[in-house]
Amino acid sequence: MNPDDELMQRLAAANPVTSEQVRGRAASPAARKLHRAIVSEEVSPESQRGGAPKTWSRAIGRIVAASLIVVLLILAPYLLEGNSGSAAAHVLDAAADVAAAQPFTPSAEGYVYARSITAAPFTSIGENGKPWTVIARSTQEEWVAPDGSGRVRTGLAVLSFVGQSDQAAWEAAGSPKPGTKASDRSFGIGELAYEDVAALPTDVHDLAALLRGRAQIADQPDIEMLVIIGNLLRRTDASPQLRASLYRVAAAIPGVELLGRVTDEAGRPGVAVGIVSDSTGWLERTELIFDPATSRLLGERTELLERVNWIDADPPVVIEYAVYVAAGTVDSPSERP
Amino acid sequence: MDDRVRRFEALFTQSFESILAYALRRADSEQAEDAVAETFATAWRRLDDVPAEPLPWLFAVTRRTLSNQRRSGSRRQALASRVTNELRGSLAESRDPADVVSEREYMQTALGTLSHRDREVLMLVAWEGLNSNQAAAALGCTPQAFMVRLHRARKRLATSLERLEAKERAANVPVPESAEGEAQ
Repeated sequence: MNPDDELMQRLAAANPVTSEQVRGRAASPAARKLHRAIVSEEVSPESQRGGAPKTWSRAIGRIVAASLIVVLLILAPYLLEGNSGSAAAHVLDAAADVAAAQPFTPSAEGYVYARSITAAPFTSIGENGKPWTVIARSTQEEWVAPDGSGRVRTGLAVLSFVGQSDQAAWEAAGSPKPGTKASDRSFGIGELAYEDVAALPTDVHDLAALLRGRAQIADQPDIEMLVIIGNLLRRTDASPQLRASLYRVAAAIPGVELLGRVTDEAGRPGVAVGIVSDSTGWLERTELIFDPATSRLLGERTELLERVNWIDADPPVVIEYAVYVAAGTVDSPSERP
Repeated sequence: MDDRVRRFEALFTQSFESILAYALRRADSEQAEDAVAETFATAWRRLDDVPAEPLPWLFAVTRRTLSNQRRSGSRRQALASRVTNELRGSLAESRDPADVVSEREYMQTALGTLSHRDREVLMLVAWEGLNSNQAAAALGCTPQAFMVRLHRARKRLATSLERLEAKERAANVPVPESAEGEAQ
C-alpha cells in the first residue's frame, strides 16, 4: 500500500480486527483441536487436484445409476436431443410453459402466509478430536402484510443423525442441542418488506441480465443464480409471466443438470435439477425440486456427493434442505390457509 | 510425523491468525470460525496445490467458503437474513452524521455503502496488507486487472466519504442567533 495514499491509510486505520487481537490464537486449545481433527482425515493421493476425490467416481456412479431408469422412462425424448444439461433445459422450459398458462389474481389485502421445513447440519469437534454432525430440522411460518409488517414463528428444532457414530460422538459430548430454540416474533411496518416482484422484468433476457448482475457478488455466480431463482419462485405473489421467465433463465444457467424424478423431504414427488461444485473442498450439489405438473417450487437442498470426515454417511446424502409445504393468503397473522 | 503432516503444521501455524483475522473482518465470529475450519480442511486435502506463498490462496478459499455460507444462509433462513441485512443496510444509510463518533466507524460506514466486490478489493490491500500481485492471486485476476479494480474502488470510496462529509457539514451548520431567538 502506498504510504502517501492518505485515503488508504485512513481505511487501514479503520481495520476492525487488528493483528494484535488474533496474536497467539494459532496456539490456542481450540486451534490445536481443529488441527488434530483435520489431520485425522485420511487423504488419498487421488483426492488431490488432478485426480478425482476418492469417492467421486462412486458418487457419480450412483447418481447415474439412480437417474438412468427414470431418465429412460420419463425423459427419453429429451435425452435423444442431448446431454443432461439440455435435458434440464427441456424440463425447465416445460415448467415455464405450465407456469405461463396459470391464472393469477394478485391480492392487495391480507397476509401472505408461507410454511416451510428447513434442516441444516451442525458440526462440532469432540474431545477426542473427531468431528461429528447433527442435523437440526425446524418448521418456520411467516405472515407478511402488504405494508411489510407481520409475524415469523419458528418451531423447536428436531435433531437427527445420518450415522450412528455421529450420534455416539454427540452423546459423548453431552448431547448439546444446537439451534433448537423456538421463537415467535412480530415485526413492524416495513421490517418484513419483500422485494416488489411486480417491478421485476418478465422479459427473459432482461431478467437474466438483472439476476446475473445480482449473482456477481458471489464467487460462483451460476450457483448463486439458481438460489436467487429459488428465492423468487418461492414467492406466491410472483406473476405467471415472472415465474415462467424464472424457469427459462434457470434453463440457460451453465452446468444445471437434470437429476430426474425425486421425492422431496416432505414426501412429495417432483423433478430435481442441480449444479455440482467442489469449491469448499467437498463435492456437493445445489438442487431445486419442483412439481412439473403445476410448476410449483417444492423445495431446495444440498447433497453431499463424497465421503467426508465430519459426517458419518455414505454419499450421496442430503445435508441441508428447505421444503415449502403450505402457502396462501389469510386475513390475520394467527390464521392458516 | 510424516512430511505431509509437517508441511500442514507449518502452514497452519504460519497462516492461522491471518485467516482468522480475514474471516472475522467479513463475518460474525461463528461464521468466521466455521470458515477458518473449512479453509484449513480444504488446504489439508489439497496440500499439493497450496503455492509457496500460501496466503492469497487461503484467502481465496476462505472467501469462497464465506460466500457459500451466505448462500446457504439465504436459503434456510431467508427471512431472518433479509431482516438482518435490512437492519444493517438501514444503519448504514440512515446513520446521522452527528452519530459518527470515530474515524473507524466513519470509514466503515463509507465502506459499507460500496459493492461487495469493491469492498473486497480495498480490504485485501488496506486490511490484509497484500500487494497488487498477491491480491490479484487471491481474486483470481491479473495484477493489471486488479489495479484497475482498485483504482475504481478507491474512487468510489472517496465519493462515498465526500457524501458522508457533506451530510455531516450540513448537520453541523450552526443555528443563526436570530433563529434561536425566534425559537425561544
